[in-house]
Amino acid sequence: MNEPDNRPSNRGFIKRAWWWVSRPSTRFALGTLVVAGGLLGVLLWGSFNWAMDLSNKEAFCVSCHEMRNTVYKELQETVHFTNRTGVRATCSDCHVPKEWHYKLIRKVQATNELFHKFMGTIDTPEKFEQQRLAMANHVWESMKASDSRECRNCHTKESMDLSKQSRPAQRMHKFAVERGKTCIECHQGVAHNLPAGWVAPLATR
Amino acid sequence: MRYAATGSATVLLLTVLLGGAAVAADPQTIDWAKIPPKSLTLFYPGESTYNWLVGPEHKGARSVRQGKACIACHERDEADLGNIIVKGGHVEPAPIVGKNGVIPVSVQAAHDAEYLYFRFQWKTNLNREGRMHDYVRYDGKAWKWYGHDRNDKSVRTGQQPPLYEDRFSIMLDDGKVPRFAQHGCWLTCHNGMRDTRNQVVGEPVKKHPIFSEARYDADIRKYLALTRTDENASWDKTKPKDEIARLKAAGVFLDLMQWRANRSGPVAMADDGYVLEYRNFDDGRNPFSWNVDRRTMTPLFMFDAAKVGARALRVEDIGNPMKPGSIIKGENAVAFDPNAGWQEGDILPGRLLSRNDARGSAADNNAVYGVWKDSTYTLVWRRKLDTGHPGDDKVMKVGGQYTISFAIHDDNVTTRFHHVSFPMTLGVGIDADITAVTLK
Repeated sequence: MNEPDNRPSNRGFIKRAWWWVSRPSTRFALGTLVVAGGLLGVLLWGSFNWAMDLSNKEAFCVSCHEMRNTVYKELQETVHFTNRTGVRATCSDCHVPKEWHYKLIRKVQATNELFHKFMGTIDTPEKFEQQRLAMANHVWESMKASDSRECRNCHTKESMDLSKQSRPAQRMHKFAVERGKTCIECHQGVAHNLPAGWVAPLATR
Repeated sequence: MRYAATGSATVLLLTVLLGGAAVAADPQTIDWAKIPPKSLTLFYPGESTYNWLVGPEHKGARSVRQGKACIACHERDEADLGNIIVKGGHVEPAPIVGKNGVIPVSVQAAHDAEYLYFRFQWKTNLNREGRMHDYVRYDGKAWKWYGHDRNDKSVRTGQQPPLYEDRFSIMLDDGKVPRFAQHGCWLTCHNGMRDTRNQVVGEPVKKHPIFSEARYDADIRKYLALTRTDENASWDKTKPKDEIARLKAAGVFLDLMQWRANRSGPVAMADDGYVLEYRNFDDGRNPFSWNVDRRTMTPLFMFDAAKVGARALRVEDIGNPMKPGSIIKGENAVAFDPNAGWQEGDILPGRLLSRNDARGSAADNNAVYGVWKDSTYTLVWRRKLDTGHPGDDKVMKVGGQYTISFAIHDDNVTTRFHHVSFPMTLGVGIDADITAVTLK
């Protein structure tokens, strides 16, 4: 009678995987493994983040999305692009969360955009304009739901000196606080054109 | 045959009596104390034309271009705006000394099945009724225009006295004019109009293919940008006439009604107009016309001395509430007699009023009563919800919501030297910024 064959090659995938992680190494020293594992971890983590960062770059967004001649061009004409102090907000600053788990969720959601890229949903300026209102509403809804989290990465109520704002801005910001409003409820279209067919709310009340 | 005619006449009479009496309330006898007032602050807008609003001097230009509402930035800002602008600056290059920045107005509104009723109250800056307008004065040899609005050069330099009628204006839309709900009357105000920068008067207007027609004056008045072809909505870049007619037929215009202390108030009326390619009057005939042949400068009617006590007014009569401010056909007027022994300083109104001659859509506002007492006007107004003239009026319905805005010309001013409101919602029997309460 032969002994049972315990070699990994004879096992199923899960058992095999378990075999690899549960058995101590007979070939490499523990220290080597820890150091190599650490380095590998750093490398993987780094490249993951590098990829994340790369996908946050303006050039990346503009390269594969249907925005070069529309929303990106519009952004360039706004104060978020060129201003007195030289601080620029680019696509990801407003559209990708900074916090890691929100960011991951956002990136996964962004794959939906790849689907529409594939389908050609907005591949002409005409199609883009047709969808602009729906897309804008989508962005505004999510910004409202997050209490304008991405706006607040740079702008906070606490660091706002109302006395340095214009007279109407002071008044409206006071109303916004009193009424529990969030940035996007008034500041739609700060970086892009507003969609045709969008009817401005008459009051912030 | 005879019986049939009598029968028809009786039915007609009964219809008029019953139909009329059953629905139309007298706006003077409505129990206004039961109708909640809405307090508005009308403010002085200076020369904030639409061109200015979207230009580099206005911080909110981008928001305006995007279609955001004025009150998105200027909610409850009327008093500050008015008080700042009235002092002069880039929005008011020609301030009027002593002018007030704001006029608080109380508005009440009511309706029944057929009519809309308003009551407005406001305090005037002038310590008398502004019911003098387009007067002519005999200088011993000829009749010459006497007095003008405060912005006129002759008044600013002290050569002529300030004499111009007070007015209360209502602008109304039913949602057909894009952005009126957001930008209100600013939508109608453009550079090139009377008393704005680059104003166009005289020859250039009279040479324009559209404005050369007799019904236009030799200047530019309110218009909608959608009647123009270029981005700046220039006064002369008009769309073709048939295209403008199509817009009108589709109801794309603003209803504009003005109560005038000299030209309509004394016959209990307000005028009725609309804004499209110009500030036009509705079809029909206004309650006012000229009392002077402007070519020969000869008056057409003078006061009936038997009723008024004299054929003409004198300077000291101006502001005297016992003396008439207007000459009214069939009431206090007789045909002008050039040989009546006119004295230097005799004054006659240059406008002739007639309630009976007013007709058509221009005569829709025929129950409007203004009383000036203790420096305060109380103005009550009745207008049919459906005037029966959809060609130049906005047709309203019970349960409908509309956009409305108001303006007051106070203290001898005209054109942009008025006080205005931001646009508001008007609900006929439904909740809105201004709710017309259902009369029981």
